[in-house]
Amino acid sequence: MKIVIVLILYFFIVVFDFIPLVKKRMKKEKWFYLSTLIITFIVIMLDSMSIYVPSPALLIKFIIDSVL
Amino acid sequence: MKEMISSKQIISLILLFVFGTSVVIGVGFDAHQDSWMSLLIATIFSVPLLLMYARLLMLYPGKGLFDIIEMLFGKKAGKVLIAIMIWYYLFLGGLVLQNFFQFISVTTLPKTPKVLIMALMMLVVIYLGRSNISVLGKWGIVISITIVIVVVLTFIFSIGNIDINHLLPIFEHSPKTILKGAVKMYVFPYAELITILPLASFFKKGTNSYKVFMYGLLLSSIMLITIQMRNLLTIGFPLMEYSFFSSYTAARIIEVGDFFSRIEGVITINLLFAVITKTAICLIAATKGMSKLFNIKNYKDIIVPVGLIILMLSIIVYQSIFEMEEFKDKYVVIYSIPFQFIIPFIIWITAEIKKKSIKVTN
Repeated sequence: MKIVIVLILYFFIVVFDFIPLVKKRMKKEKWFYLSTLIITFIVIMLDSMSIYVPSPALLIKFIIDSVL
Repeated sequence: MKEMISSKQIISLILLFVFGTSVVIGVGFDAHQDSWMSLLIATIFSVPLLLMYARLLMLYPGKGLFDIIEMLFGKKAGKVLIAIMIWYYLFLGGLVLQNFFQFISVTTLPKTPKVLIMALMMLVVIYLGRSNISVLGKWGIVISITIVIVVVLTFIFSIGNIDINHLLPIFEHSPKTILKGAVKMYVFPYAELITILPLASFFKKGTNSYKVFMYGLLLSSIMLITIQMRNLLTIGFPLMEYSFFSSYTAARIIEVGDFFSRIEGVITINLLFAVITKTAICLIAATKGMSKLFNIKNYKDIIVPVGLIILMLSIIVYQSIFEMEEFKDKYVVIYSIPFQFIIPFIIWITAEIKKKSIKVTN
């Protein structure tokens, strides 16, 4: 169920937002968009498949604990 | 035509931003029945900080935080500072969204997948962020009036449940404990108003930032104290501490006559509106920063991918409500200080020195 939701979400984003942007031929925007799209898709997909993804809060906690 | 927001709209956005999640999850309960004093102290602490933010904007009228950073520190050092602030806005947006999910999953939709709730919220936020900024401003006015009416009504309806003994004994806690609560309230939600600074480029010409921030602080403090008092007087401690969402618990026991009860749904709506506004402000701030960092002309072209980053962070940041509470209690103060105080202070001092040196050379 979760995986289907993620797939639908990204399908609509690609069709209705990313492809029109690519057609405008904006290079920087396109590469920023594409790299973000891939990274967020992988992370959200992993979480949807119940594969543990470490939280950035853990790093923050570790830094604060080691400093104090 | 350049996008603009009026002073009233900025004040309403400040009010909603401060409301954000604090209206429901509550803040700084360290001093228990004395926590209203912590709130008052936090408000007083916030005055110099907000005056500093306002002074920075008054020194460079019409410029947002990222424009000011680039002007003061140049391209290279400026970009490092911009990247640091972007992280703060992204993570804050993620935390706000996650707080909302925790509330919804505990109170209303325990079995609905996290990703569905958050993605739907994020779509609304992206839509709001992508619209003309005046849409956000008008939304701010309408929603802040709605929220104020709800808070006032719930307070009036709670009068029958008020027990003044919940406030006693006054000053039971040491000044240190009261101050500890005040510092937490100062960091969350008042000092988070640093997120408004990148939006300053949208302020109408001639906007007095001092007035805007002070009125915003005054109004939001009055509302927060009203909420805190309502919750304290109706449910009191220790119930307030044990229930993760004290406003929701306080609204649950409201009963007017035999026919008007179970109005906690309005608290959910309050939170929904405030969270949408707060996340939208975080999104716009982070996107403005990203467009500065990568030299992208129109920030709206990348608002969807930045929204996806916030969505991703909100999904992975906590696994449970207990992790959220632990982070809020133990780490959020220390984590926030560099972003809310140290970096803005450095920027402000540099701005003052540069302005003075320009005056001297003229």
